[in-house]
Amino acid sequence: MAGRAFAGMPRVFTRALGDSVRIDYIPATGDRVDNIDGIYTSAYQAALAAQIPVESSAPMISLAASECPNRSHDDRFVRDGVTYKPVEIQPDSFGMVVFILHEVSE
Amino acid sequence: MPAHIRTQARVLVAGRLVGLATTGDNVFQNRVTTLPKSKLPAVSVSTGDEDIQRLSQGVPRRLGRTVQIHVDMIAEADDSDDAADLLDQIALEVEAALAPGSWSDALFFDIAPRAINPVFDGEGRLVAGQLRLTFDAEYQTAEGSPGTVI
Repeated sequence: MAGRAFAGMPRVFTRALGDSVRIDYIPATGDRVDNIDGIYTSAYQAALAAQIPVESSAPMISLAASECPNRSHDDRFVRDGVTYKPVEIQPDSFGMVVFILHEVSE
Repeated sequence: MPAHIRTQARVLVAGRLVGLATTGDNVFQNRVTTLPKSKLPAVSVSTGDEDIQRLSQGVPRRLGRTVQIHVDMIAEADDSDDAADLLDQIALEVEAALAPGSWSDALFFDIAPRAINPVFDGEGRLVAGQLRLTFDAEYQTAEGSPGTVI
């Protein structure tokens, strides 16, 4: 009962908080979804912080799990002309999935 | 008074590395601040530990010195394989450029690579890697005159 009551919440979150920039989701299997509702962030992060640091960022996108049932590390996202690949996929068991992304220069 | 040989060594080596095919003009000395994407791939030259031996008992005494010169190569790539390949390519160019020759004769008796240490970080938008190539550079000075080789 509770599960059914909250089933629509992930879509509500992604629609309300989603990025205003268009994000296309290209799953390795299944249909491409143009302009998917997702919460994209890319906070500043220094790479090699203990060495000579490099300016970088930590791009990630949160999707409703129902939007990406066949999710895999071979999926791709395109945002603002930049292609990303997931290097880590984190389902939260509450209907959301976080994709930790790396840029792809292909 | 001339600068310490450590300073002269950094300047000499950094100058030698300007214009390499992969890193171009992205050559720094003692870099500790964050590198922007526009400055990658890059190399940074620094001097490290130095061993000093007394070679004579005269006044002033002759000192035999071996300074470590670190060449840190920094690059980003799509994945760790590509980052390793890119850093290895830079190392290839650096080692070729720093082989002993007329460029080094005025300062060093010898300069030779002694160690390579890689570090990778996959937390950012790309895989970042740093390869530290350490050289031993040998030179001699008179005691009290560390800015002039003899």
